[in-house]
Amino acid sequence: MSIDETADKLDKYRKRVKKGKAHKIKPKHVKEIRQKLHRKRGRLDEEINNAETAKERDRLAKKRATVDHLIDRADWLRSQL
Amino acid sequence: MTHILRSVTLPFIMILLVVGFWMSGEFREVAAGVAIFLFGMLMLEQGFELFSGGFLERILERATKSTPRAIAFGFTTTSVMQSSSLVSVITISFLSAGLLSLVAGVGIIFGANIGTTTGAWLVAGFGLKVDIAAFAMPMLALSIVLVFQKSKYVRGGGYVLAGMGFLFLGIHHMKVGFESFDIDLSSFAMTGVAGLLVYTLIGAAATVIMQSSHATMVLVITALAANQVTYENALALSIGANVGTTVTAIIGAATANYQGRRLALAHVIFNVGTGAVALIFIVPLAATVDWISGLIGIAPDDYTLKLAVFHTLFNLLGVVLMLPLFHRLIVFLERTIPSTEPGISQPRYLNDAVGAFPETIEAALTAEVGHLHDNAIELIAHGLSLHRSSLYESHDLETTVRAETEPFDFDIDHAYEQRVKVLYAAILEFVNNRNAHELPVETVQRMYALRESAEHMVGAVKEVKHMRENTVAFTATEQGDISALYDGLRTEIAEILVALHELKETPVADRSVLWLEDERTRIKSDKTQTGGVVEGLMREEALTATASTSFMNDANYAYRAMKELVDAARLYYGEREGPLAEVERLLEPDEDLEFSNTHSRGRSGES
Repeated sequence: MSIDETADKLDKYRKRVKKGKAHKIKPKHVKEIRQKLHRKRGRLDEEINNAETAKERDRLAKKRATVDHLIDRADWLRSQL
Repeated sequence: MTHILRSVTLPFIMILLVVGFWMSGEFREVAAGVAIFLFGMLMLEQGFELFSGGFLERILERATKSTPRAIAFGFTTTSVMQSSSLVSVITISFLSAGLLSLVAGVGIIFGANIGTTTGAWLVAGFGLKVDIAAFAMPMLALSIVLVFQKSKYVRGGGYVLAGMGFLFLGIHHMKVGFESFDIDLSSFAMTGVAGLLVYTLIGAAATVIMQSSHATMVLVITALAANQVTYENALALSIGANVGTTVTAIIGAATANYQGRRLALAHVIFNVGTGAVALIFIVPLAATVDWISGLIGIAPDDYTLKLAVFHTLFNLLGVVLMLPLFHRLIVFLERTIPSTEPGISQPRYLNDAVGAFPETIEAALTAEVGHLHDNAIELIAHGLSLHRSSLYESHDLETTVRAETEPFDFDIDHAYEQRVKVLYAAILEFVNNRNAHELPVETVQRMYALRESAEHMVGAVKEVKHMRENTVAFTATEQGDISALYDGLRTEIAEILVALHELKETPVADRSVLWLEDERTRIKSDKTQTGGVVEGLMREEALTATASTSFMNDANYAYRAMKELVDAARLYYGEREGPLAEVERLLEPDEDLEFSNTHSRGRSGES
């Protein structure tokens, strides 16, 4: 998902907030979710170190990349609030 | 039996009341007093129930971290609410929902027993000494203004005030009725052991009929103040009131789960045990009451206050006697009423005792849906010849799955009926029976999300049921490409099961459903990729058209199962509706979008 798509979602979210149909997000909320993602990243690092085959390492590394994308997205979102 | 007893008792009481009304105007006054008093208690309970939905429950959770705290909580709440029944109901609800330990529950019940004694003090020390009706009228007038307000808590305050007003009014009418009685009821007084036993039974019967030991105590105190009952018999009546209240607990626990029944048994043991001790040691206890009364300045002939002292003393004595046996009592309760039999998946947390409190509803439903998840995941794993423990410990999932070839000898349809469907039916019934209009919006949203989660999990099991036969047939023995294809599907499902297990084992504060994003976004691309692999094998004539069609059908079941599993987990482990849920929604890709790095996962059999 590109930043543009997240930006679209953010616009829609802001419209919902204006109508009182969404909960207001503060940077601390994004930070909290980011910490959870970071925790997952740490676990994946550990699992990659313990993986017994290159294939398994590759699978886990791709999972870690997904988490990294989400962390980037969280950072971007925090900068927009 | 209970039904017959009830159908006989009701007409009997009605006839007794009508005859009483016809024979005596004073009886009418006393009976009306009792009725008004009981109505006041109902209003009081209704008022305090409006404070539930957060307030009471938060206190309950914090105040029960140790046994002394639990006892103090039981004492305080019962003293404030003047209703041990309401405290018992909340306790059973929390216990049934798994929000409270049995130790804390029993502690609360002990404390509630001491708390009920404050009622006797209030009536004897205040109710009979002042013109209580003068307070009742303005309280009722003010309360009705509050009852019509929009705010739940203001309305709750109104009901509490009205309840207090009716209690006062009831006491006043009982007092007036007894004072003007033409018949000297004290002429029926009995002395000695027979008197003790007969009046204990009368006290117990009165409490069973009125469903309130508090009402019995007030009746006894007002009768004692009017000299319509002797002090000696009043002591026995108060013991009877304590014993009679256990019947209410037993009735309340009839629909509760094993924890609720254990609590009811603890209640019975405590009250009957305390009553027996009080009856056996009535003489030294009465002497102690005289001694204490002298110490705190109660006049020797102020029998109503002395009765309050006695009531407090023997309830305190009960707690003092029971405390050293507390942990043995818990062991006894757990042995006597075992938890749900293993192997039979009856609902563990959903029962009538959960009550109407938002916290207990949500906690019980969360626990039951979690129970369904556990059973469903077990069935899915076993249905695919996989051991969950091996998957969860594996550092190379593909190899682990390939090594698991021995099919589980079980009937998946039968297991589904017994271990999943029965729970799902209970969850649906429970959610449908809650009155959504009376619950906070967040609770209703969570309830529906949990129901949907259960639905997805059931869907996942159904999909796996469809693919099981071929999967077992092609993975039990090595059959080349087709075995590799099925192992590929099993591995993909196993990856999701492992991801779900990780979420389950992680504390709520540390986990996020975004952890499932990789699994979620990959399902569609994996499905496309699998289709490509099958086409390649067909071109190479490594797979017949029939085998390919059959496999693709099973692959469809498998990918639907994966989606159902991920959806079930997202709803179950997702943040409660609020800002954190909004952040998760903003960060997750849309349903049909994938991360640019969405990867292709290799598997044996891929060309």
